[in-house]
Amino acid sequence: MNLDSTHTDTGINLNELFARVEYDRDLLCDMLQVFCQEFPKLHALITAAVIRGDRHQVQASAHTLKGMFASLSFSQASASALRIERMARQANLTGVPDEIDRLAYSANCAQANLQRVCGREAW
Amino acid sequence: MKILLADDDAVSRILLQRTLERGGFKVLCVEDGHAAAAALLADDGPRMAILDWEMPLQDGPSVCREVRAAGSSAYLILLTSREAVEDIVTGFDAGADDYLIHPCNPDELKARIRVGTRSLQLQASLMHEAQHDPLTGLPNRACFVKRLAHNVRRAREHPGYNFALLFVDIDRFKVINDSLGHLIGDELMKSIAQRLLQAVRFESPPPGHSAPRDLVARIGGDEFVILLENCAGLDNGVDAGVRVAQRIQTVLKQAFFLENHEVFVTASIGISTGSDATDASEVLRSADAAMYKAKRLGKARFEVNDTPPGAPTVNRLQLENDIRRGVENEEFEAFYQPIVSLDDRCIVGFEALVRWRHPQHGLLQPDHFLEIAEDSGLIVPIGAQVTRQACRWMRRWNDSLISPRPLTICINVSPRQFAEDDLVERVQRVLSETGIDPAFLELEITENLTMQDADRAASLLDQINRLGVSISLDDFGTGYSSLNYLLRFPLRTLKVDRSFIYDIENSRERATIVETIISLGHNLGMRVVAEGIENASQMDLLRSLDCDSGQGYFFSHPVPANEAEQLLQRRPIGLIEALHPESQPRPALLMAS
Repeated sequence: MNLDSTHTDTGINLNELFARVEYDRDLLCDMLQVFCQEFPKLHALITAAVIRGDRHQVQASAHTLKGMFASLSFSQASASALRIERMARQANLTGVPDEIDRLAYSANCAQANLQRVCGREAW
Repeated sequence: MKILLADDDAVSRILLQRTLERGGFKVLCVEDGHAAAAALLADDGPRMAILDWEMPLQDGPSVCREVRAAGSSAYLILLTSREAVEDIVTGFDAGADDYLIHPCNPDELKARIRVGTRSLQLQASLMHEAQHDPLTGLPNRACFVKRLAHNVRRAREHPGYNFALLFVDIDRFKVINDSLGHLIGDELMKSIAQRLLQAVRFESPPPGHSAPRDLVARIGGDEFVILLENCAGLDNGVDAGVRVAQRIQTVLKQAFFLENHEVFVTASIGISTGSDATDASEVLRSADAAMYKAKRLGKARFEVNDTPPGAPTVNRLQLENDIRRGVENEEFEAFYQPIVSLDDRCIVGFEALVRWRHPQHGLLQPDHFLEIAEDSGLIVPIGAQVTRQACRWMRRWNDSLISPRPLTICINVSPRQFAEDDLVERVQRVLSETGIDPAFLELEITENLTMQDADRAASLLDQINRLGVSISLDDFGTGYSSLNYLLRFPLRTLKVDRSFIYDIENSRERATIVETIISLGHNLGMRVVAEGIENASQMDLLRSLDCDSGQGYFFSHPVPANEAEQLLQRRPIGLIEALHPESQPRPALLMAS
């Protein structure tokens, strides 16, 4: 397995992630598949909550996203989710839309990178 | 082991689920707090759970609180991304046993699960110990009462639901224990437990995998109880109880082989049905009373308690309290059965036998109270009271020269009395308090008393003998009849058990045995007394066999002191039925059975 990629260029802490899944490729691919199903729903949910001004829902969705990203070691996306959660807890949703964009971008990049990792033949 | 995993994050869930499954665990996944609480509180729910802190409907700490409030001791691990100390404290305060920081390292996860598993195993082991008898492995009293209480509630709520309770007490277990030692006694208890399990009802299919349907528990030294749940029929469970009681008697009939000893036991069984009971203790008391009745009626039998619910029942605790009060009020009294020289039919002594002048129930025979007195240790003060009375009377009779020859008083020593460390001091005290000449006091022991610790027995008997008090061996022939013991102990008298005398005039075999015993006793320099002489033919035969003395109904039943005094004035003595107060012939009842 190529472990030379770091989270700074892929958005994923691969060393940490591989250790977490105990180098189980099938598990990693399954987690990615579940993420691909769940992320769009959560993204839509948090966006709608921001539009409604529902800070509690924003906070709850950000928390779930943070956990999901953390499980996949999507470090940048996870940091974005944490910032959103804190803003919502402080009842300040002003910066949340921009942070959601950053979160989505980081998540998509990390997801694409992880798909490439999963698609590699050599593990 | 099954682990509940409650997490609304599907990615985290699949990661944890696979990690746990790789560790060999079964995983039940739920997505919210309500489902988690419901799963944990289900009858056969998981005993360990990983609960995400933040979940829809109910958060992890709240699930912990609910589960703990319901009395569950499941091992709960909170999964949190909160690392603040106050949050961790909040989690523990809510009832969590441990926590994991999300996302967790798989090795740490498995290590924490191992800790949880050990904790649950320890808990299960403690729980098992708290609910089971360590000797037999059967459920104990606490476990049994819980299940019984459940049945009482069920019967109250569902008229027509029947259950029965059997109270099983092993007859004369104390004698076996004292004679063969506690280790063999313990082995016997284990074997009896196994036999009882054979006697109860079993679930039928599948063949070869049947489990007992009835609950067998050990609730005391030699006391077992059996709960027959869900008894069919219109007889409130009596029929099922009787059938199981009969099977118990059958399975106990076979000998127990324990370290080269062949032991036979019987059980007295009380049966009670609980359809009208208001609580578990009432059913237990009722079955105990029935068992006690079975004991009184001769043991090795069962009795059904048909006392209406709420009616007062005699229970052992009440009786023990009564005995205690009786001791304080000096209600126990010595009765005297003459021991008669077979040569001239003159009284040579008396055996003192205890009776209880109960303020409500009148004169009670020892079979009403002796076993409880022995079990509770009250036999010691009772024995002291009766011995003092008997020695005082004996001194009076000897001092008054009412009898042509000095009289000896024979006092039985019970296992409990024999086990007391200060037995010799007690005998000394009686001698000094009553002023009786020690030469006219004879203590009767049985072989069983000496079996457990022969060295101690020999030392004790020697010390008593040095006081000038004689020792006689009672019930000879029914125990181990060890020649070694006869040679080792300072015995003055050998008492041939009544079972050899019964019908001796018609049994050549018995006559031969008794002749041998008499010859053995004489060769060892002992006097021989035959117990249980009921007619002149037996007396004549025993005299022809050279037996020294005898006692039995032919001469007199045990009588109070004033009537014994009248007997002393009659010579020769024989068949003075008019004098004895106990109308029906019955075996002489010893102060110490």
